[in-house]
Amino acid sequence: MKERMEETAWSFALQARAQFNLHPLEPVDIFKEVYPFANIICLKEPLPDDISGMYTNADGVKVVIINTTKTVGHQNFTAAHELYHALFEKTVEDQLCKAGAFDFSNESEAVADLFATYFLMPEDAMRFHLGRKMRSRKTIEFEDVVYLEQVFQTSHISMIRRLEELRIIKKQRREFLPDIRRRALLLGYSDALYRPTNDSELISDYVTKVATAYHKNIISQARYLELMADVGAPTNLDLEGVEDYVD
Amino acid sequence: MAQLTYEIIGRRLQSARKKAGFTQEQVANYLKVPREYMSYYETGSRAVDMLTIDRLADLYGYDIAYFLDPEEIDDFQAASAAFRLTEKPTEKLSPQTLEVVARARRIAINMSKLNKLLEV
Repeated sequence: MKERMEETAWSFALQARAQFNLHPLEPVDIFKEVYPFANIICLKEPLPDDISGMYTNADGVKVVIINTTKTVGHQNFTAAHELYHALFEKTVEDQLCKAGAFDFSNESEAVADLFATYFLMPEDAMRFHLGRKMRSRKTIEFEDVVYLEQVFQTSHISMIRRLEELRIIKKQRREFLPDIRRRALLLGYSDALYRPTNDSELISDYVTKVATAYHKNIISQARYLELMADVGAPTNLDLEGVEDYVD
Repeated sequence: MAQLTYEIIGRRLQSARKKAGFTQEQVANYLKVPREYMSYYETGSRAVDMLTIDRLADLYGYDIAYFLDPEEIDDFQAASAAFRLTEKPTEKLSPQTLEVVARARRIAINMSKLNKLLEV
C-alpha cells in the first residue's frame, strides 16, 4: 500500500518537474517557477493555525491558499502538497490540509505529502548537492543538513525525514533536529527559512482580469472594488501618494 | 410570475447545506448565530437577510442568484448553479476555517464569472 503510494507520488513528481521545465538537479522556487504558469489562483495569507493550506475547485477554476503563519520552509512544502491536489486529483472535493503529516490512512493526503517530498527534493538533486558540499568527506554533519535545506528551501524536519528515507541519515535525528534557528544563525545563514512571513500575496492573473473587465466597461466600479477587495488587492484609490524609491 | 418566499429560499439553503456536507451547528458557528436560527432560516419561519444569504452562498459554493430566483428550480438547474463543488468536508471545522473555505470559493466563483465575461 505504502509502496504503491510512493510510486504514484514519484511518477507524478517527475511528470510535474517536466511539465514546468525544471532541471532535474536544481531546486525549485515553486511560487516563481511553477504557480504563475499552472493556471491556479494561489493566495498566500495568514490563516488559522490548524491548517497549512487548502485547495478548492469551482467550475474548473482552481484555488490554493497557503498559510503564511507557518515557516517559509513549511509554506514551500504546503505549496507543493496543494499542487498535487490541483494537478493530479480528479475529485472536486475541497482539501483542508495539514501538510507534512504523512497520514497513510488518508491516501490523498499521504500521496500529496510524498509528492511534495519528491517534487521539492528529488533524490538525484539531493545527492548531487550533498556530494558537492561533502567532497571526499564520508560522514554527514549537521551543517550539511542545514546547507541542503537552504539550497532546497525546505523545512528542517522535512529535510531530515528525506535524508532518513534516502538512508543518508540513520541515527542522528536526535542530534540534528533541535534548535534549528539558533544553530543556522551560528553557521552564518539567515533564519528566514525557519520563520513565518505572515504576509499576503496573490499569484494569479485575477487582478489583471478584473481590471480589464472594468476598463472595457463590462463591470461597474462598485463591482470592480468588490472583486479587488475579495483578494485584498489595492485599487488606484488606495495607492494615491505612494512614492517610488529610486533604484 | 412566481413569488419568491422565505420558504423557497429556506428550502434551497437547506439543500445546498446538505450537499456541501455541513451541519446546522457548523454553519451557525460560521454565521455567529444560535443554532436554532439555522432551522428558522431553512424552514422560512424567520426572515433571512441578503448579507447572510451572500455569506451562505460563498460557503456552499453557489451563485447567490440561485437562492433568489422566484421560479422553481429543478435539480438539474440547481446542480449547474452549484459550481461543481465539494462533496463532504469530514473534519471538524472551526468558524475561522469555514471563513477560509468560503473565501476560497468566492474567489474561484469570481474568476469563473470573469472568464465568462471576458470569454476566456
